[in-house]
Amino acid sequence: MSRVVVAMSGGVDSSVVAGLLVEAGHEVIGVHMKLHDAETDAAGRCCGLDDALDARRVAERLGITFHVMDLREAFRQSVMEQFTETYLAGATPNPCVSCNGVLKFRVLLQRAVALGASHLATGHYARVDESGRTLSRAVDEHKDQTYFLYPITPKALARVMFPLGGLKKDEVREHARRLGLLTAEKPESQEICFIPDQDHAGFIQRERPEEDGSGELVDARGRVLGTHDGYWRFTVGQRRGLGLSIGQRAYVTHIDPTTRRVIVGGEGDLWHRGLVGVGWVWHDRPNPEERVTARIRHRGALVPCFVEAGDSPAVHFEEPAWAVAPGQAVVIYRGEQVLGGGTIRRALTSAPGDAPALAPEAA
Amino acid sequence: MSRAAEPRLVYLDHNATSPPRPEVLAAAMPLITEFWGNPGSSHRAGQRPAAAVEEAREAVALAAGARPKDVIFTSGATEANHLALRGLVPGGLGGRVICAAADHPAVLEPVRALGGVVCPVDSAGRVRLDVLEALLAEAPTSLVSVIAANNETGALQPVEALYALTQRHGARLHLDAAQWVGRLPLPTAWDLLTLTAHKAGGLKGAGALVIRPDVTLQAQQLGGSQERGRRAGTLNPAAIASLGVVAASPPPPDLAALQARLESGAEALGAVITAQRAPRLPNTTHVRFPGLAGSLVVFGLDTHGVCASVGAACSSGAAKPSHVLDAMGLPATEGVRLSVGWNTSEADVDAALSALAVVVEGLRGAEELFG
Repeated sequence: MSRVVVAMSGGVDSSVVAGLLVEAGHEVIGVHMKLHDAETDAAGRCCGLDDALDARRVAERLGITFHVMDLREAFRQSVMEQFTETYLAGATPNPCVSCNGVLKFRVLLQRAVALGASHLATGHYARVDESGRTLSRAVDEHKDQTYFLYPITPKALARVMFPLGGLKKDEVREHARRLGLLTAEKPESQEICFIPDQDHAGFIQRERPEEDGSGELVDARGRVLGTHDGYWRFTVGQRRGLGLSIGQRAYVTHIDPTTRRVIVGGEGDLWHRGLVGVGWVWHDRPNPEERVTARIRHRGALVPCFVEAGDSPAVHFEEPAWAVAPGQAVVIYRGEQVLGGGTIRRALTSAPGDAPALAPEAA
Repeated sequence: MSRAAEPRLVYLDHNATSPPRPEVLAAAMPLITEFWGNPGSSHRAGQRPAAAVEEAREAVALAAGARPKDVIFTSGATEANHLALRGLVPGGLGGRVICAAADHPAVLEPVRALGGVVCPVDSAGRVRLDVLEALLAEAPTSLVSVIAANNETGALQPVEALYALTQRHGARLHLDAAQWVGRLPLPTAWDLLTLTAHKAGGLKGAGALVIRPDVTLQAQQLGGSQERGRRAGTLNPAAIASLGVVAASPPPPDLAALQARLESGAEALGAVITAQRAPRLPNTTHVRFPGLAGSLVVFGLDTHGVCASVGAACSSGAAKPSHVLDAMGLPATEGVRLSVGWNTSEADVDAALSALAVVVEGLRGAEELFG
């Protein structure tokens, strides 16, 4: 059978991937990517020493070769610095997308192939068909991670395996117990692995101590409503942390990094008619007349839409969608299939009076 | 579930540790299974283990050219280095400690902690004698410590010249000979000498610091009166016996031939041999494939069942840039260390070279495949 490299984080999902591929008769090689030096929290999550050791113990249990790959420099350049830059530009970064696009499915995949592997397998919840051409959502809709996987290029996708795409999380844990893997009951990993306390504003302040992000909170007409101590603390659609009382629920509608102003409005100001996306990766581009669906946030609803032609096309929603946040990913689907995705550059704002009567889902 | 099939293991990492030799197991096993007593006990059960420790002490002393009472057993080379660096009671006015930039972290770190000085090395990794001389002339120095044979490159230090220099300046010379043991006859020009068992067919968990009769040491761990009060703690007779066996065994005669075979084969694949013209250990081959990360070459070899090393790793197991190569002015991430030993065969070397050919070709051909 073929040689497969498995990216082993030290968590339950990738451990089970390695076990299932060994059972299927592949020659499996485990690789743990050391991405950063962030200290892990009490639960010992993500890329710390404990995870590397857990992964190595799983590899020993399965009888496979295992290595730790130091990718800290590439991760700093491609993920951490871009994360900071995006916040400084007034947008909301998606570090998992850049980690997948650059680290896992470019650098690691390239190394795996160079080492004689036919495929790279990971513990992501997504499906690739046998031809390696079609990326689709996982069977377990709650766990689906295709929102973070669109930047895998078609050429790379042909050499990728997602063995968990057809499984539910419970089934994965069941496999882990059956295989006797010590990671079977390990908790889920956190959102931003290189910021264990999840305080992204504190991280940016440490990275760029010279930057002053403080400024004013204003309404759409420019009236000053209050002040804030860093515009990068905010995301379009955010309600918490504003400390305002303006007679209605106040939300961030816009962030202007040049004036450091955070513009605040009511719920009605956040129903967007579409967006403009950049940096697209297409697997199967729809023509502008095809009605497809878009996802604009992880686990967000699928929004019926049309995608214009061009390198930086507009995506027009059939019905307005809530809180398009620049910097986040937009992923386009036909049914369950991922057609492509890009980065949201800006929202297309709705005309006044367009807002539907429905209240938004908790954003 | 069934484990994946194990490929035949080709082990070319004797500088990390080496498999125990049959004579070592013959000497050590009875001290684990039958004569398990504490050598410090006065009763019958302690007698055989105590005798085994003293036999090993004599063997080590003979090999090092020292008196048995000047052999202090430790848990390994790191502890022996600490005992030398921190425990030496300096004569006269005392003074600072100097080590070399290519030394092992088990010397560099304690020397830094003691506020010592690090002397640069030349492009072959050998101590810059001119700089060392200037350092010795500049301020009183109690101790100079160098790695006698480098663990990464195998390069040998000019120990005679070092000893003459330190003598002239009233400083003591400590040699860390952890990699030298069992591969070449031990050097004689030193005041303190670190040895370990497990690089040449002995067991992990035993080392020794050997000193000249006029060297005074202060114990660095206090407690029982073992080792004449210079190192407290129950001794490990099985591992110590293994050090005795290693010290008493002549170095394998065919190491240099294996090294030559390995190096000509590696050069044919485009390898550049580190410190090629310097005197080196007969078992250590350190190479670079210019432009290729050493960690990937080592990883690739492992997938073919060949164990090699980049020379330095952090606790997570990730390769880290080599301070030795850095000190020599070479690219710090390109090193690959292949170290042979007592059980290495020509077939092992040939299997390693075949794997190396496949790995290097794959890595060179796959650059920017998805870039």
